[in-house]
Amino acid sequence: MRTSTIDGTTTELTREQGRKMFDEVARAELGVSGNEFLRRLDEDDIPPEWSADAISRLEILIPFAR
Amino acid sequence: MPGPNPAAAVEAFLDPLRDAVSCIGTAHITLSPRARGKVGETHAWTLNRGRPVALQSGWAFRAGMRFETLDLGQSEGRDRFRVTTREYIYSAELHGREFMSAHWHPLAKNSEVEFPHYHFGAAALTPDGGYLARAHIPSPRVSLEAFIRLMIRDLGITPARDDWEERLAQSETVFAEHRSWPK
Repeated sequence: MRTSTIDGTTTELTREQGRKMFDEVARAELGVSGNEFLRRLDEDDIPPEWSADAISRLEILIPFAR
Repeated sequence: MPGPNPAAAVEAFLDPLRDAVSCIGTAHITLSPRARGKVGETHAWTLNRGRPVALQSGWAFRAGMRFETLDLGQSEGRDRFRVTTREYIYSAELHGREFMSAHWHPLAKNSEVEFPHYHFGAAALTPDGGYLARAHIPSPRVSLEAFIRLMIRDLGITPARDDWEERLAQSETVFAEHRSWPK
């Protein structure tokens, strides 16, 4: 995943921006869309090869997506 | 962190966190939709839209929390609304691999581990350390300030400001005054 610099502000995302951010992070972390991640999480269908740390990092971001 | 309205409570919650992150850079905090306005729902913040924050010498930092704004009632006056942390994840990465992280994620659907814990990742381990990489090492609840202090003091991250010790101490004092878990 590419890194970033930090610039000193706070941004509250819109619902659309939040979903887009979540989708981008899911693709970078696990190579799947945000919706695919949420579907598999809801259905207890998490592939064993997915990184547990990446899943934890995505779960904490769920308020951005729904 | 209290405030007279939800938005003020969220700002009071974020101010010391911004101050703490300023010790290793200048914080850009990304908030989930309606985080400043909705009471009784779980919201989240993350640094830089969930991307690792580049530091020097191959290090990177990630942090995020889930939090909730509570309405304590009109009798609380200007302290009516209060933000409480529900989960956190902080991690230090070296050359793109996790070095160590502090987790507390009792709301997580994919983990049965509800207690706060540390992980030591691949970058911190010898080739024989595979078991430890999956271990959930129990920890106290860890403040963002404590994790940043550890990064500077013990991992050798260069601080972004000379007064980092004082800043972190001040920020942690605010956090300690308002935290709801046992000291």
